[in-house]
Amino acid sequence: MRMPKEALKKKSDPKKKKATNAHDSLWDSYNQSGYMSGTKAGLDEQLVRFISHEKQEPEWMLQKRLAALKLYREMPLPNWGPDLSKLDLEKITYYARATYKQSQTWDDVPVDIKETFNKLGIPQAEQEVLAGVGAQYESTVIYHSLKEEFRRQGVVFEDLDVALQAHEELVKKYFMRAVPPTLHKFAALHGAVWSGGTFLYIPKGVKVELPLQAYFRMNAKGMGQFEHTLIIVEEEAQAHYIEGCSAPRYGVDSLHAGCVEVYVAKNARFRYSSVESWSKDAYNLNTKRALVQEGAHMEWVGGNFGSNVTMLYPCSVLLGEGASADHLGVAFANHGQIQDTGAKVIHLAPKTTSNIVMKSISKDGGHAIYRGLVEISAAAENAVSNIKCDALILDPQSASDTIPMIKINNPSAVLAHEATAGKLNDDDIFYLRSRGLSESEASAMIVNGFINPIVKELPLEYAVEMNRMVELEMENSVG
Amino acid sequence: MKEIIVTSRDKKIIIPDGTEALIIDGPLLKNKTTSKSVKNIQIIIGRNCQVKYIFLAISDISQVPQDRELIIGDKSQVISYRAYFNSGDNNSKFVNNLGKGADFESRVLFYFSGSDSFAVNDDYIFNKPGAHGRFSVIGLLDKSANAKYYSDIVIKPLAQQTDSRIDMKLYLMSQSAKGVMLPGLKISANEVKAGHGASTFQLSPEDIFYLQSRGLNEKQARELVINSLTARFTDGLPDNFKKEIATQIKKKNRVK
Repeated sequence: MRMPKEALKKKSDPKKKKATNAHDSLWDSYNQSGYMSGTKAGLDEQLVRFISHEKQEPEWMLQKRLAALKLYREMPLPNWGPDLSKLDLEKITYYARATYKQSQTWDDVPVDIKETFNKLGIPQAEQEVLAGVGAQYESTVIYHSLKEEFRRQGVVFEDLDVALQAHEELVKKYFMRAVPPTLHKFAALHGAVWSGGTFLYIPKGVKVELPLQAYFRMNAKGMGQFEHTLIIVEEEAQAHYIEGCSAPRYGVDSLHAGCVEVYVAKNARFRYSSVESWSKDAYNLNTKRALVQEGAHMEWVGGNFGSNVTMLYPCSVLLGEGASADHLGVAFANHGQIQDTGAKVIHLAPKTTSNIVMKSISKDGGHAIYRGLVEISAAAENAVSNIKCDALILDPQSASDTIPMIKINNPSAVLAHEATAGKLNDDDIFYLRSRGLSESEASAMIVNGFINPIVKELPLEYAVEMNRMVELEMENSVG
Repeated sequence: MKEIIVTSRDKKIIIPDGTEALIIDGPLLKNKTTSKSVKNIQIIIGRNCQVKYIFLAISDISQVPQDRELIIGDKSQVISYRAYFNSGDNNSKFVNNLGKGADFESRVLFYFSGSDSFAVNDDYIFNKPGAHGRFSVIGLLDKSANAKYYSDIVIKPLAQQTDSRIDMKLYLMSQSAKGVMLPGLKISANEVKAGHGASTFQLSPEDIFYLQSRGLNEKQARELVINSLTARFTDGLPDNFKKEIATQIKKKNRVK
């Protein structure tokens, strides 16, 4: 995730009483979307067949899509969590192709789209700190690259549509196995209309030291984005992958129902970082799950800033002895937002360990929710889990919930959960003000300190930007 | 101190303002006739009261009203002791409402064995400012017992300057025991302190080994360890209830 340069330079205006949402100033420029004229809202079998046909998919994938569509129609909306009844699924455009050509140099990307990604800072980051970049615009990936040294080691970093053609057997083996369409209604929807996304394959023993990044951009009004990220990390391999997401605000609901599947083989290590900053009229109903084998380690690092409603609970299934997972997350619920996020860890093998650290901030009537599950199965002898959730509630209009479900089926489990909620400490603010900071700056500094345990896990550039995002969200939060 | 015994026929108990009272509740009173029409018993504690509330379940309570609503008046101090050792299924809901400046300590202990099943839903609702609450749960599960303990601290928008915390400790004593804990926080005010903790353990094999090495048999060693875990719960209880709890622990503690 890269922030627009203009936004990074932006100074706060102390006279401005109420902050416009930081998001509005950051990601709300949008391109004309002429390609939308050939699309329609709503979902039917014809559209599913059309998507599959246009991508020249094998028959098995079409059949998977149709089976998922059937499930989607049969399954109810979730009856827990935020109210989704206002989301009009008939008004969503499920597929739109902004360009027919995928590029491997930014020069070949259409000018208006390239301009968007320039504003987001993607090409610059690619040169400076990344091993590879993917960029998706609406339903299709418009740019993909991987540094030659990693390509030579057998790393595959592709658009999933391309990978389905080039590595069909591998995709077939893993696609929607960790996240089956039966999981919930939006997993089924995703299975029917998925488009684009990332395919990352790290061969046995290969260590990719630099992060790989994909950026997903929804541009058009009322759009739905359903990218699928499929990551296979073979034995003893190691990699770090970063996803960023954004969309402009139109005042009309948009929907993001992406899916991330990660397969971490024996003794491999993988870190998945994401910073999601969808527009504040987007429903972000994303599903992320990792299957972690013996001795392997999975890390989820996430920041959720935008969206109207987010429901996102990355899940690690610890399948092999000694497998481990870390879940680190920050959620910022500003005016009108519901950030329902959390973590899910299922311990299925002996000596598995998990560590969950979640931080949330609620402001101007925002509602942050931690919803989590740690399940220790009967087979998970000597499993250990630590869960820590902290919430900051910045004003009387805001709210915070913590809903940690803990299921223990093995007496040898050692599990500790700890959660706290409170406000900014007046003494801390007073101290910082005595050193010359404004109340707003002092608050932002304290909030940045609050989320520091998560932010410090990001590469330096991204950590700096996440801190700046918090400062923008915090602007004019007091006084 | 006034002593009040809650029977299964009661729908509502009212403690007048400024009273010091001991309320004895629960299916301990098995000789009382049950009125099946009563599902929920409301206990209303007035202002500035000092109350000890004891709920002790040692026999089958499936046929008696298990749900309670405890309404605590402004500035009252209440300690609630609830202990469950009964066989059979439990399924109860406790709602605890705290008044302005109230001070409420709630302690829950359960010990189940065999095929016992236990499901409790506890809500601690802070409606007014300045209340203080400390809530603790200790659970012991042996053999195939299973327990679901759901508890929410709910802080309403007007309940500023409140301070609340819940701690849950669950001890699984056999391979087939199962436990689910859900300690929730639902907070709609910002000038608050709220927290919860939950942890699971097994009885320390090292402790039991140490006690056996000093000449205790396994049953005695386990009993001693369990008594040490439950000592915090029984602190402050009248002696006859302490004895009853010790008896129940002895009965439940069957070495395989």
